[in-house]
Amino acid sequence: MKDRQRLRKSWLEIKTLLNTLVWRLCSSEGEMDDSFQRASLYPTTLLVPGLPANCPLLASWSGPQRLVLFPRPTEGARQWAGLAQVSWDAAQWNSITRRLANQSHGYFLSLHEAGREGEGQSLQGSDILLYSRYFRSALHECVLGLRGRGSSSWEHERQAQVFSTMALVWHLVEILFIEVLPAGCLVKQLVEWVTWAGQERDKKRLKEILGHTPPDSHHGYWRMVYRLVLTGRLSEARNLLAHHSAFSAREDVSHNCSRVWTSCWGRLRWSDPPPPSPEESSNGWQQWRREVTARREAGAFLSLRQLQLLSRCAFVNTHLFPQVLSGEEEVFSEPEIVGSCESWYELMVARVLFTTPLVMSSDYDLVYSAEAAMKTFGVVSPEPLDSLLLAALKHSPLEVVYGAKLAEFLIIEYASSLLAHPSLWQVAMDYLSECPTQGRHHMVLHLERIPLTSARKAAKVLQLCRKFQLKELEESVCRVMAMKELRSGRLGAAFSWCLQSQDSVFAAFLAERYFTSYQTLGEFMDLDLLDNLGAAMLISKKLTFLGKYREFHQLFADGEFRPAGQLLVSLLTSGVVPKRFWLTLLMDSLPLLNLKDEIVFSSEDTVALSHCLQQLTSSHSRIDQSQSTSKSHDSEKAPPPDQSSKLSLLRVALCRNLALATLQEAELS
Amino acid sequence: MEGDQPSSMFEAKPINTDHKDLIHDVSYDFYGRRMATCSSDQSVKVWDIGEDGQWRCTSTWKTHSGSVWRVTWAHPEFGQVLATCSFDRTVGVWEEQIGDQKSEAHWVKRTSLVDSRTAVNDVKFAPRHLGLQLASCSTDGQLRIYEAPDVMNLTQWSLNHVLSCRPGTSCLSWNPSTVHSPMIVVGTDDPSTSAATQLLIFGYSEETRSYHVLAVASKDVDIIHLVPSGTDAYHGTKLDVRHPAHFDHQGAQVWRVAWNVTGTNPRLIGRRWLCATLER
Repeated sequence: MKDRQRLRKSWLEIKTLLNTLVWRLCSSEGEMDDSFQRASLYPTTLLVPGLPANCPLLASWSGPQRLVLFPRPTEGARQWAGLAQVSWDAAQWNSITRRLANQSHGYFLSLHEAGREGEGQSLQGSDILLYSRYFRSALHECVLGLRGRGSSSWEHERQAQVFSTMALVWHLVEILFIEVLPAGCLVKQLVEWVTWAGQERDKKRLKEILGHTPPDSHHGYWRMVYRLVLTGRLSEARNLLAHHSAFSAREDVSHNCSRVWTSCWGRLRWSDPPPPSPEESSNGWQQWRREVTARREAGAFLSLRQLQLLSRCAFVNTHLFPQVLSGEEEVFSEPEIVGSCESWYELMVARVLFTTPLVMSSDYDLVYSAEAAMKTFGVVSPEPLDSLLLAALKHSPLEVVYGAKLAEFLIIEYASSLLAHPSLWQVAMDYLSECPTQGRHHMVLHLERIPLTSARKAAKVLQLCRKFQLKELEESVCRVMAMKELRSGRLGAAFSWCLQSQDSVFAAFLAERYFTSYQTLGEFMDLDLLDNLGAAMLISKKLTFLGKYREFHQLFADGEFRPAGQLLVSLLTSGVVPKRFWLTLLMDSLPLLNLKDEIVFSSEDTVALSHCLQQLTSSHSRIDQSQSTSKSHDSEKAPPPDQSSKLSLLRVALCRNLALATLQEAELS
Repeated sequence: MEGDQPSSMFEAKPINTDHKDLIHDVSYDFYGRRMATCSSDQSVKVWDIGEDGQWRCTSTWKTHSGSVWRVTWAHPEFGQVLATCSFDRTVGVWEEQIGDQKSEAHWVKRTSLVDSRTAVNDVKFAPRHLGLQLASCSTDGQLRIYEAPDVMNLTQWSLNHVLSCRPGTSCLSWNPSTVHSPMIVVGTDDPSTSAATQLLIFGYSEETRSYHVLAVASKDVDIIHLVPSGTDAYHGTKLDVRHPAHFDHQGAQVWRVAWNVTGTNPRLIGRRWLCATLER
């Protein structure tokens, strides 16, 4: 008891924060109907254990459907320095429900594929029906899975309840809108609908009753008989009645009864095959009804009533049976009839079965029966399920008014809830891609937040980016991965990520880094990447330079001095190379200048090289002068002593070469 | 679902941080897999989520010489970068360095921005598409916007804009939207006077290359809806402030401001706002 009190003391409400969350979800959708928004504002109160009492809270978003709370510093919370993490909807995705999500995802995609293949034609009704049935079977499988787990937790039972309700509603929708059969068949489908959910339970009860000797002594005997009649299972009802102790005693009564039942059953017009035309089936039904009424008035069922008088203790009105069969409306308000139905829609179906069996889904009769049944059953404040079923029967205007907008909103909501589980993100993206107006926007927002925990996952994200042409996101993902590699010093891997997205800005940056590392290390790292750049070289000028520079080194190593020299000069004069790398390139020209037997550079080339050298030295001296007066803006510093010796070496070599080259050219001309 | 029973949909679990004093801010990285907490004990702790869903502290270090008010992450495109602001009037920018072993990770200070003359109350990085920019607001009402022109060199930051608000700026938020021009909302409240709390929204105009006030909202501000209504003198979008939802709180202090995901409605959470629900 004490614990509970203590727990209660430390509970705090984050009601308004969640309110804001729901508001945010609604308002970001743009113009939604006011009433719809209000309906979605579910203020949720959450009791958070562990936080100090009477303390204001602050919160921070931690991820999809995850929040972290901590107390706002006040005097009272002085001693408490902790956090509470709150997450919701994560538990709903266990292995069974995930399977359902994946299966339904498959059907969703197939339906859309089939729709696209049709090229503008609307989807074939048979296709929709097929997938509807697949979906229902998947739901059923899920419910069985949730309930079949040995000791199922409260959470599983709640989920199973939700899904079985979903299956119920969907079945009705399928009957009313998808599989539209001719008159007279609807009622058969409705009967099937109502009995499908309770099949197992009914079978069990029937077995239990028959197991009793005599069966009519079981307290649920008459209720079962009524149920069987109300759901049109007349032969089973007859069988059950035949087990009545009174019948077995008196052969003649049993025989009589049996004959009456058989004749009635035989005339029932909704057995197979379905009637050829509405008029014929209507006539057939009217005729049957007349006959039943006639027999009733003639006292054919008298024997049953007599039996009833014999077994006084039963207190059962068996004269209700003929009334039911002849479709008198008042009988459906009788307490025994109402009492043998599990829910109002069972009563509704029974009523429709016997009063208006030829009803079509568009008739108002259905709605009328539904409302009457609800009233009789005593449903005062309808639950969500009741309103949903009624709305379906009424061909609710919701769809008519909101149309595609509502559908899209719901898909987006569902996709967002899928993201609560890390393995379902791809499923969510597929759903979002099918939303024409807002899907793309949401997709980008969610996709950029998918944690790139491995190269494989990043590759999957990139695949989606390319599929939906999300160029900016593709670049961003590649940059993030490249930065990760860069931090670990793997420049080559960073490069490969960058090249995947053809990101020229980042490529330029990486090329510079690469060159800087070459300058410090004195050698190239990850050579094979550079050698196999190919066409990718062209995405950035700096990358082109790097590729060409590598080519220069290769030429030099192969002994092709002249082409190497030409390449070097072209690189320096093209303006591709930033100034800070000039010295390195000029130093590379030194061995070429000092070749004993070959003159690599022509006089023009030598002049060009000297010009570059001159620019370099003058900028250095400018830096020297300005350094004393202001802060240096660039990263250039005054040349250290060894650099000035390099410069003088170059000057000497260039002058020598110029002299030799001029002489050679003069000789040749 | 109203009621005082915990819904099974929700899970709550405590995290023990071992901070020696009050926690002032918790911030998550872009993917929600790393967390940073800052405290009056002048330190920042960085946490990583493990495979088992538990948070583990991977770094803790002293960042300032006063209480650290806020901590914020930069977009992962710029690497693993944090910014902190403190009562000691400075903003610190930190980068994670990976040692030789993967488990060794320590945070290095890249720069300290010391332009403010009073305590710095909030610091936030700009959205990724604006590059590497940082905004900070101080108690004397100055909003400073910095930029690092070279994203790889975190030691160089230039102070691009200084905007004046009323004294007592306590929080700021960048508009994350990529379709609008840059926008910042700043919350001010001056507890010493009885003047109402205020929200100022600054927008950037390409023409003047500066920020100017787009809209002002005050009094019972909680959820506001910004609607473009023509252009102002700077050819920026003028915004109309509408209040679709009012909540009753008098004299609320501005604690936090946040934009919604698409960047069109900033929200404000005030202190009294939270207290009101508790007093029930």
